[in-house]
Amino acid sequence: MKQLLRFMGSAVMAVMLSLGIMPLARAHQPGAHVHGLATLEVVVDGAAVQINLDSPLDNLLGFERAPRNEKERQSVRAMAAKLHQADTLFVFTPAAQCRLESAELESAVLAPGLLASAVDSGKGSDTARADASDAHAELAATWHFQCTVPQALQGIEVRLFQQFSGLKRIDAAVVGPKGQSSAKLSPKSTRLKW
Amino acid sequence: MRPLLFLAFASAWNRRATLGLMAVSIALSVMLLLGVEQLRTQARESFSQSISGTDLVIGARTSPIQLMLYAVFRLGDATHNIRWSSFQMMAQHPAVAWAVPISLGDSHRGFAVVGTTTDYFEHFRYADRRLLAFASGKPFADIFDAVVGADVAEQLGYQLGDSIVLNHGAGGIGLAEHADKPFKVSGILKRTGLAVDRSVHISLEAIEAIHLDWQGGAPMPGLSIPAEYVRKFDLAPKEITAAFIGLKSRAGVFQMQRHINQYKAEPLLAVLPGVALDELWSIVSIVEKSLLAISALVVAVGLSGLVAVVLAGLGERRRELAVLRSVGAGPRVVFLLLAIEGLMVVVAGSLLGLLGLIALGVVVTPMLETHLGISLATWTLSAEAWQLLLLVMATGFLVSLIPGYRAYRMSLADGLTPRL
Amino acid sequence: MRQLVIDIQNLIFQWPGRQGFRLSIPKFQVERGERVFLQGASGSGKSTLLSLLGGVLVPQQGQLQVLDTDLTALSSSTRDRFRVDHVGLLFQQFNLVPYLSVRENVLLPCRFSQRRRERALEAADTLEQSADRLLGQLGLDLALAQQPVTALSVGQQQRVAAARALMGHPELIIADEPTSALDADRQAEFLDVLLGRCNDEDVTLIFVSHDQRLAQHFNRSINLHELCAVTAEAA
Repeated sequence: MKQLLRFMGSAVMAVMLSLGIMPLARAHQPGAHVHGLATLEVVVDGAAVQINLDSPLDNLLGFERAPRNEKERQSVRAMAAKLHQADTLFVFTPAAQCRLESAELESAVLAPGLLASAVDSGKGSDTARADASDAHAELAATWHFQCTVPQALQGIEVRLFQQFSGLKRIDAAVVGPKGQSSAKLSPKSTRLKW
Repeated sequence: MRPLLFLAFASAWNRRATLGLMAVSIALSVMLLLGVEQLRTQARESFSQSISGTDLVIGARTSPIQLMLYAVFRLGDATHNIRWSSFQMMAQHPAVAWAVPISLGDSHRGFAVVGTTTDYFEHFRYADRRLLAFASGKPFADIFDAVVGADVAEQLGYQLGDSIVLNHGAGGIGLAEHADKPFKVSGILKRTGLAVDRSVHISLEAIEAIHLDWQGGAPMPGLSIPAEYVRKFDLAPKEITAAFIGLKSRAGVFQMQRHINQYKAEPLLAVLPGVALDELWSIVSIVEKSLLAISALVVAVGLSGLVAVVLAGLGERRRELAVLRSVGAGPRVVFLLLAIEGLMVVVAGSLLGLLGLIALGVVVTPMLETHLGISLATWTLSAEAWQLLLLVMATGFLVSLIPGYRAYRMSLADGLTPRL
Repeated sequence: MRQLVIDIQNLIFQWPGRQGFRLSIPKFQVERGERVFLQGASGSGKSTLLSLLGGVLVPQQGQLQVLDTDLTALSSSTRDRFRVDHVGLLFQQFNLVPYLSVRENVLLPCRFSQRRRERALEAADTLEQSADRLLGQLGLDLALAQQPVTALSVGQQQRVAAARALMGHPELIIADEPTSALDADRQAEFLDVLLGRCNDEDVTLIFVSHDQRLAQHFNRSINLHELCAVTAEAA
């Protein structure tokens, strides 16, 4: 019996290993730029919730460079407006009463002025900080939320897919009250639970 | 209804040998199904609990899963080490509460040798944030002290003060020995159900010391530094394999991860262990789902067997059913009689399977914990397992309708005089 | 006025979907308390007639009344009810449910019929008493009551079946060759007790057999060929 169990154990581990090593080549490395894919980091620390989104600009905008005409600038503003409306992107457990404190958007190829929320618009410059020569560009978004009843918070529904059709998959990592976890989100599976 | 139950029971009792065997086969299949489901959920839990208190695992740049496999589960080998200076950078970072280095590569009679610091015993947490505990003895204090895991002590029969010799490398038999520098068992850890049980822990300095006179995986010819002189050498570690890090604030974990991943002096990889384990699990889940599918098939086989047995018995029972009709049982009663009989076997089998599983759980749990490192906390069924059980019974009820319907048709056709 | 237990007129029955077979009975009446001997070999329409009387089959045409109830007007489940309430059935062999005890077999009609149960309790305190009395009257050792029926001889089994048919005073008993598996001595014995019981309890009896010699025990004897016309093509 002992031998059998040990054999089973090593067999299971061997299968796990071979299956585990196989996808190494295509395992998602931090910072990789894959169109359709974005990464989401969620930290729940007491009453504060911070969400970081890292996505190729293409997923959100359809192009990855500084806007060249008024129409493209309009697209950038529309994208920024959607990202500032964080309560339509992330739906928290209602009982937790979470509200948005701040949202920051940043992209190397887009002017901060274009990314500012409607309220702040006009503050920043309209010229891009980086040259548009880089073929790929990302957008980093950070949202801060505060929850009145954090102990009621059990999950977040991520509605980014509805707003940005270029997004196909989100690799989410969560650091919550019950420890770390990860989830692969798709338009069909949009809930983060902990 | 009462005559029906009475008759169904009497009839089933009459054929108790056959139906009993059917119930046992259903019980076994249910046991398998629920057992797999149970293992699935609990193994996952124990998997993710194997390193509960650690915020980040650091190693050389590789895949996150591979880093987890060798650093946490001691499966496979590290491709590269990281520099001691990199470790010090992390350990001294203001956001870091504690940092434990580990150095792998040597073995002792098949068990992994882990070079670390005494912080390991203070900060490494598992399950519900439990700390490692000593069954006897204490952490290593001298260079040639070793702390052994529960399995190492049990299987090799070690006690405090025993002398052990480490092997160079981590393959199988025929490894070169560090015979000139034996260690003394200074502590024995309590069982954890983790890789710790199968490890021998020594200090980082000891790792340096036993390799002083080695080069390229073999003792340097003509050079032998006796154990008593090693203290005269610089034993500060130069390289480690991986490190576990705990942060002062959980919130800073992604920031710290980025900081380490972008470290300029050396390509490092920082992994959130919980996240990496989830990813590993999503790969393993193909296996567990197939297992579950196979056991569901076994249940299907059991239920088909039941239908086959009841149907086969129907031929011999034609006359009996005609007699029942002559004393007033309508075809519907005949239908229910057969359906209830099948359902009774399914329910009995399912409950028997459940009991068997619980009994097995009591026996097997400690064995699993000892040999696979899977600690199954309790054998209370998960909600999913209950759902599966109900599903089996509902399916059993549905398939029991098949012989019921056959009997119904038969008794309609036969009337009072069975055609035989 | 004499009550008709069976009243059949101009009855025609055909198996649905089976061409060729056709049973027709111009007229068949049985009065209450009669013991009727129906003589006929297989193929004479015997089982079809019994199934019609038992309410398992219904004729396509004509009148079929049992105890003033028009069986053709009843649904199949009401006919099942009617049968157990009013008719006791007795067959050639293997009349009993093998996994029930002797007494349980006798009690079966009472399990399905409220009426039979009530009538059985009119003359006894418990159903078991009633069953045991019948078993005794049919000449069975009461020590057998708890035995499984498989332990009995064929003759004993037929007596148990007779007790079951009589249990709870049905108005009509239909017996289909109940003695054919018995030897001559046992046949006479069995007929004696059965007729005696029917007499005492004022039960109408239809007794079907191919054996003409048994006719002498009955007050009315009919040949099936005279009663009904069967046309059947060779299969």
